[in-house]
Amino acid sequence: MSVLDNDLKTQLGAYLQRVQQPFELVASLDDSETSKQTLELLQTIQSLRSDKITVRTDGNDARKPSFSVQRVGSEASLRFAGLPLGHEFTSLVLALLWTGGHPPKVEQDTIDAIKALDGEYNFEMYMSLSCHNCPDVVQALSLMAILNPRVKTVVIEGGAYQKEVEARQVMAVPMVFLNGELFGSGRMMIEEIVAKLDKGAGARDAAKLNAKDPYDVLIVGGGPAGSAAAVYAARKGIRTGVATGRMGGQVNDTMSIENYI
Amino acid sequence: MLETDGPKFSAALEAQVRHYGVDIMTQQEAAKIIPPSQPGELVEVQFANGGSLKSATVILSTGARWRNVNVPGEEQYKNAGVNYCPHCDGPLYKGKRVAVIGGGNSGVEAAIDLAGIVEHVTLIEFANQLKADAVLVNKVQSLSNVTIHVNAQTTEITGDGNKVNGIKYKDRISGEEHLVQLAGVFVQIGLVPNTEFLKGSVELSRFGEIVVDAHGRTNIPGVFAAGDATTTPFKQIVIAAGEGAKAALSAFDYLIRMPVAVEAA
Repeated sequence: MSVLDNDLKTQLGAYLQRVQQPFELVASLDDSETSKQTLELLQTIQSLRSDKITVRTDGNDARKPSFSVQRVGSEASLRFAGLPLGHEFTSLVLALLWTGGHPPKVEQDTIDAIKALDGEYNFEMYMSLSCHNCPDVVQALSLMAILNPRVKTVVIEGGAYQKEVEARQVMAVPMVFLNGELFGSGRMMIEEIVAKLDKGAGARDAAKLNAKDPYDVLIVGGGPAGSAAAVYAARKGIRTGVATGRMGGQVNDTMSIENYI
Repeated sequence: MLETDGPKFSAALEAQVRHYGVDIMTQQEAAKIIPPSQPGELVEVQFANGGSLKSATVILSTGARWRNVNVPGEEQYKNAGVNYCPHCDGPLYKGKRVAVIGGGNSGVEAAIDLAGIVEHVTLIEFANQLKADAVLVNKVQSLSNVTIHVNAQTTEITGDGNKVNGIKYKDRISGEEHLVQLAGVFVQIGLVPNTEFLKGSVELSRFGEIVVDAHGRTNIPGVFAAGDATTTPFKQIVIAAGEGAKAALSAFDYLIRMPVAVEAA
């Protein structure tokens, strides 16, 4: 059975048309079955956009199988160890597109803050393919590595690296280590990760709030109740604001919704 | 909509809110609400980062979070064997033994889900029977690698200093204590409202839920509430959304009846 079925291949092919700049996938492989699948995945990706994407198999990373996604001539800063399929397929596609120059859907403020981060940041992040809380973190750390060369990210699929997972006592995913130390676990949004690294962010954010004009309706909390309230209020044409930890709230932590109504 | 998932649904909500030009401020944690000193004045909400916002009306929709079981070991081994998300962390326990605390829908669903991945699941329920829907109860009872204990009170999550190695529960009928050796515990015992910051300013029920009337009004004029943080029964997405819409219409109703235009302070 091939790693990607025909539907996924077609989808992937359509997305890869958005790649503007050439990049390479550099694989570090051994004799394992997962290595074979990794190579097959990379070759499939390459075949769908052969004018922009190159595959190399001369990588020499300690984690095998793994592959980096990098612009030609630049250092590897984003690496996937194990196969990023399942819930992480979208993360892989986004990483390919962003590396290929497709713009991310992230606020300009956040992008500027990522580019301005100084210091060395080596992230190692553990995920599982059935984890719906993982993609946000994978995508955030991938984008940070793509935007700022001082940020290095390795995304590790726990199933393929069980010994490492046990040795590090990773018993919940997503779990993120920064420069070898535990950085955080659970779902984190990119703004949250950046704020944690950028010490002055809290004060700047407070100043931004203080500068706001009063609202007609201010909604505290952005889950289903808050979102519905925001839409209904805004449709009345009154000044509406939502202050929340994350949009969607707890819904983000729910997997399947089969009984919305 | 026959079926969707949380992240997709959440992205759709956000897209719709953005479509209407609502000012969205994320990464904000409310710390305090200051009621208007007299009717017609603005309500102020203060945030953990030190900033504050003012508004003629406020809708509180802060939701709820997973309830902790509050036994020794839970805090110490959080993410070291104590988990709250079976979908996320189940695969890490492949071939191992785990427990699920809670026999409601989420607990029984978790046990069914985990039974397909792990070696064995112990399902622990405090009450004298599983409270989940009959179809789920029948399913979980049919699984050979799930052991169900009712009338069982979790007393401790044990560990070796680094990670979980067992769970202790008391049989509430016989009073006997039992220890089950396992590698992971999934806590699925319902929700607790995110309303700590409202204590002393907005009326809360004894469960900490914001007390609302049929219009979504709280005890403070101009302050409304909706969703899982309130006394409205049944914590369903569709109910929360409906209550949110209602609170917004109530707030609008309140605004158009305000006697004078409010000047910014």
